[in-house]
Amino acid sequence: MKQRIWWSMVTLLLVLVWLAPGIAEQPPASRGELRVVDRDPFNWLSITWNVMEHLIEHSPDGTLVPRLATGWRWLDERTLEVTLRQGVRFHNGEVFDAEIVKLNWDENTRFQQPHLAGTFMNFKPGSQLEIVDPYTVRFVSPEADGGVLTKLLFIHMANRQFYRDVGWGEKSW
Amino acid sequence: MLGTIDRERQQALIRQMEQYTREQASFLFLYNPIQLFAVNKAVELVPYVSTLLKLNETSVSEQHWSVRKQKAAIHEEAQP
Repeated sequence: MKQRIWWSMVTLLLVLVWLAPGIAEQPPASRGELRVVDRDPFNWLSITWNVMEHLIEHSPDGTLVPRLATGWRWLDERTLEVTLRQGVRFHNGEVFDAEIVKLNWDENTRFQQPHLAGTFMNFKPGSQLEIVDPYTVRFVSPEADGGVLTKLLFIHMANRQFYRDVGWGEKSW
Repeated sequence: MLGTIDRERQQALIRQMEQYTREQASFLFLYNPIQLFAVNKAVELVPYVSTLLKLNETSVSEQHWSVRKQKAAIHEEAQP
């Protein structure tokens, strides 16, 4: 009899231990917002490349391919002319055109990005974007810059709402 | 190399840099591990040579849980 009681106690304890995590799984009351800050440029790039579009991107084999652009041509050693894809809208209905490219150019080149390859991947100081028409823009460098096409991979295209609500360089944490 | 937009000139300069690096033994090249990705069997991953995790060409098959869940929800809504 004593042995039966002993085993009953052991079984009860085991059941309680088994149930304990379930009891503890009551949703805790919210105690505010937790922001995870990751300063790793590799992770930053993995996210921005996957959630934003770009004028030019890499194909899986590493070739440069047009995305929001439809094509490009060099006018001279300092000037790259890019034609933009027409009929593109952001998820909130905003139209993609030369004006939005100019906004993104201004916002992306406002600070030195921490590129994996090095900060030389930022556009040279004095580089400019000129709007030719609603679907044509020109990137003008102060001197010959053979890296312009690759540098355009890092000009992430966001809509106006993004810059109104968040923008780059959030420092409020 | 970035001082020119001429692709052939750039290629020639890259070859010249490689040659110089090899002759001067400027770098000691070590073993570079292959990039590995573990993915759900219902995910059709298209990796990039850059090894960056870009998902532009990646897709999921009909067997993926998200597709099955979506189909089940549509089926449930269609029930009278």
